Amino acid sequence: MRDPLIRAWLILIAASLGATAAALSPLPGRVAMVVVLALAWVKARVVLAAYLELDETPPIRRAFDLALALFMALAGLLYLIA
Amino acid sequence: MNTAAQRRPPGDLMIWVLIVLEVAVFAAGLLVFLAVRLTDPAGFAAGQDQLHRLSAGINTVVLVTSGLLAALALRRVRAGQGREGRWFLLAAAALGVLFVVLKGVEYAHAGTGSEAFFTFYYLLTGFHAAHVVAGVVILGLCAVTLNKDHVQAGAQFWHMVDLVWVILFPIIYLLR
Repeated sequence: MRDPLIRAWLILIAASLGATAAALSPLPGRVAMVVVLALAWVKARVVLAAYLELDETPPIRRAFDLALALFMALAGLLYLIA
Repeated sequence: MNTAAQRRPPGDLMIWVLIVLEVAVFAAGLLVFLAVRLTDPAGFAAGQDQLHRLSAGINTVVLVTSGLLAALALRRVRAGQGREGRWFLLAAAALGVLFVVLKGVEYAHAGTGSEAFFTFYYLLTGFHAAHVVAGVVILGLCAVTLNKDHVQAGAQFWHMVDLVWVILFPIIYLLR
């Protein structure tokens, strides 16, 4: 798929289906949590890079990627200690 | 070496201030949600079981597809194809309306359980739904003016709504 917007949309749909499947699967809770949060991070990156066009400004995209990764790590930590 | 253009995000700087602030508010809300969950994990799990996950999953597809249409609208408007761009904007707004309708159905069928869980559930998803309603109005206004800068800012607001949902959906509905 050459159009980056269509490619981004397909990744978003696939990642959403993958996260839902992981959450509803018999995977151990911690494994499912890692998959769900990792896919959420991928989806957020795709929205920022393709839809919000941060692919044109790599330093800013990397800053958002890092902030989102820290958020996901913190969310995962709060999940694990429950 | 980066050029000046590569050091600035696309569009008006103020829309990026808004995007960062909005995402930060929702991120803080979600972290508080997860922190409060520590006090009653069983109650939160029971509350999640009452949610209509299928409806929320369909809404994810609806919103990311709407985001695609908004991005395609901006591309058309930039290319001087305003008439096509208008249809893409209206289609994106129509999917936003569908999102709100499905959210209403979800609320109508939401069960009862942990008060803390449902307080955060309604607060976070309701605040997001309010942004969807605002976004639908903005996309509609952009479809009227077809001004390139307006359409860019409107599409960016819509993508921010999309961005918040792709973070909010897994944490509220999927993490158990």
